[in-house]
Amino acid sequence: MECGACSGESMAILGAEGRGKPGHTLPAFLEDHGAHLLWHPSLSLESPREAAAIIDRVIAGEQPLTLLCVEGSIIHGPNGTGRFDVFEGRPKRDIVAALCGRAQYVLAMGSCASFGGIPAAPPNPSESTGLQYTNSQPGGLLDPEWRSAGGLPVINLSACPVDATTMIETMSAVLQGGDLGLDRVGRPAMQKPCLSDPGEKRCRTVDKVGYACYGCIGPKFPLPKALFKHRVPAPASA
Amino acid sequence: MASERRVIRMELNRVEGDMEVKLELDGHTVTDAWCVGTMFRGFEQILVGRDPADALVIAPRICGICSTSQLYAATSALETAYQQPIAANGTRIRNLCLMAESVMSDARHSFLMFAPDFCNPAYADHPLHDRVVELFEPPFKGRLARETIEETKRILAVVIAFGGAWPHSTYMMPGGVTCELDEARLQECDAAIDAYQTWYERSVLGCSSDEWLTLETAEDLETWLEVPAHRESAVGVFATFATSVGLEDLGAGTPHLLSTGCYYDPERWQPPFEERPCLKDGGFYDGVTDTIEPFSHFEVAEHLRYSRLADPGSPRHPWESETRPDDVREEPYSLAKATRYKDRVVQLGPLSDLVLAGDPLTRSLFAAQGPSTWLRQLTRLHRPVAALQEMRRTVGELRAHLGEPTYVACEPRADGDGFGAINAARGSLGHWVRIRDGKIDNYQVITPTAWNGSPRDNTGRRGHWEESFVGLEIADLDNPVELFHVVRSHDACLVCTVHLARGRGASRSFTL
Repeated sequence: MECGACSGESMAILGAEGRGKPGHTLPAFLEDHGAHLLWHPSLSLESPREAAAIIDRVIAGEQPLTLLCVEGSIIHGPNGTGRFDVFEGRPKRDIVAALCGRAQYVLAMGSCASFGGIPAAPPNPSESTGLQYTNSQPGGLLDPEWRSAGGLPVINLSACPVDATTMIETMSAVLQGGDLGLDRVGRPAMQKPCLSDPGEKRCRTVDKVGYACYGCIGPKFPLPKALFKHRVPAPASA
Repeated sequence: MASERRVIRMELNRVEGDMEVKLELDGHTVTDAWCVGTMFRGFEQILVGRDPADALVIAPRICGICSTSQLYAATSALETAYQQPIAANGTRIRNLCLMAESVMSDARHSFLMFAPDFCNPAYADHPLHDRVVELFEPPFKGRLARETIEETKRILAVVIAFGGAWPHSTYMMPGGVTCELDEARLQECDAAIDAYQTWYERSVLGCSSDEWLTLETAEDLETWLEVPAHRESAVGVFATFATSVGLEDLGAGTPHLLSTGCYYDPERWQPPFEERPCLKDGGFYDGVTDTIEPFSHFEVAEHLRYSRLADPGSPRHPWESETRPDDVREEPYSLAKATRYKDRVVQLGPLSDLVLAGDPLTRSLFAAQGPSTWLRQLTRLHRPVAALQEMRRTVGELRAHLGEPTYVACEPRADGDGFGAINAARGSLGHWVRIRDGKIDNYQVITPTAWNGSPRDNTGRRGHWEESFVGLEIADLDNPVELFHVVRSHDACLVCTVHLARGRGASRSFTL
């Protein structure tokens, strides 16, 4: 499901180059695991009306749902109605909540779905939250105590966007039943800062492309005003 | 007969965002149309009061599909506000990355978004049915669909060479780009361009790029298609199928075209930024008088009468414009503003870009047929061929200027008005910024989809998409494939547009 999203994760998962390895693509993942993609708003043939029927079958318990992947913030505005983001006449917030009740595992793809991200930055005009957090505070669309049918909280793949390798490795680990090693804000152990080298958790943005990291992987992104550490960013070849 | 008219609501997918079209129908004929977005994020309000440099992080995240374009426009808006000199190599690298994003986007849109409609059940009996299913069946089943995913991620290696990641890296800053320029990076670009061109020639064109670029007229294209190997290529199947189902007669919309120009000239794009020296010219094409004028951003105005936003009562230039939700008035129905150029309804996108840049094949087809769903889509298959050559030329230029800087130290000003525009894959994208006391005082983004998918303006004229739907014959109202073709031929990017406004939801009905 795409909620208050820029489609960045949907695009990122189509392009696993960079830190990703060849073959780390969504089609390869689906094939390797014999997984069936029920629906994606940008990539599926089904019209929204047909998608609504699929969603209804899941909510009714007639169609099993193993992984629910959500991209974008959960929009509650205006005035808590959720009418700023609707699908087939229903607030998406309510649809996602109902799907969370059925899914074995729920993955928040990116900082917006995890923590609210940019839409939740002041003055938060859309009244956005994350799935189970609002910035670094536990509790979003779902209560802090909420667990999916598979017994886990929302798995937060933060970063803006989270890279394809992290998404695909985490989905694979979930399907294989391994320990995800979730940290204190629900991020799995395979989550890495952008441009880090394999096996290393250090952000290498400055070394590799010359600008200071502004922390898009953290739950408070982008709350600090003046995101760059230097008033004037100092590029490598200045 | 008026009594047979009814209004139906259709939500659309594969338009990268959330959109709904309301149609008034007389039998199966569309007699009127309204375009409505269904999602609001409020980026402009989030930017106000922040450090101007924050726009380089936040504004690109409006859209994960044309992220390079948004970053380029945001950087350019700050540069014009600061009157900041730009390293020529910085502009070259930006152009190269923008071209890569455009080439990527054209293929993803054509083969993952547009062509899947050829596999619609409505065409189950079409003679080319098996062939289009083999090539385009979604999701990820058609051969070309799978190849597109593999190959487009490879061309993004060009962006990754300089930006480290895609989408949403912030390697452009006022003054240039932050990364270093070295031979290793250029070799990564060479390899990516070579590999992509090889794939494009083999799997998409069915001929060499040089041969394709000899096609300069509508007749040349017809003759080319007569060769069996060409007809069998993806472009050939695309062309044969599209014309067999009449896409050249669908969705003309407004006759007026707009482009702000493609790719700033690295040497000449400098303060005071009064001219717009571009490698490919832009301009305004008046479809009634058949004349072209230079583009001026002062001719852009936003009309808010039919938007669910506070309406100042008269059209405003984006520097003076506001995006403040207001749900009190009855008339508004849309989530976007109605943007007009010289008080005209205009269409933007690769068709407009190529006609105004003087591309011979596009101009010939446009002169012969006028705008259409088919021609808009053909330009997305045609454009990458020349773009890949331009990328190669840009890499060569960078190699010739290898020791020169990619960045000129930025000197921010506490106050200034900026305008940055670049041509994204979907058409011209503009960012307008007002800086006061070192903070963002106003920020307005006008995307190509905001122009194309705009609602009625203050005088009640329909937006371009709305206009392009009128007269459409929809055979099966439960499966309006004709409507899908028209909308997707605009590569609609609704995530960009609906951040501009708010929605009251899908419940509004029109009584007739």
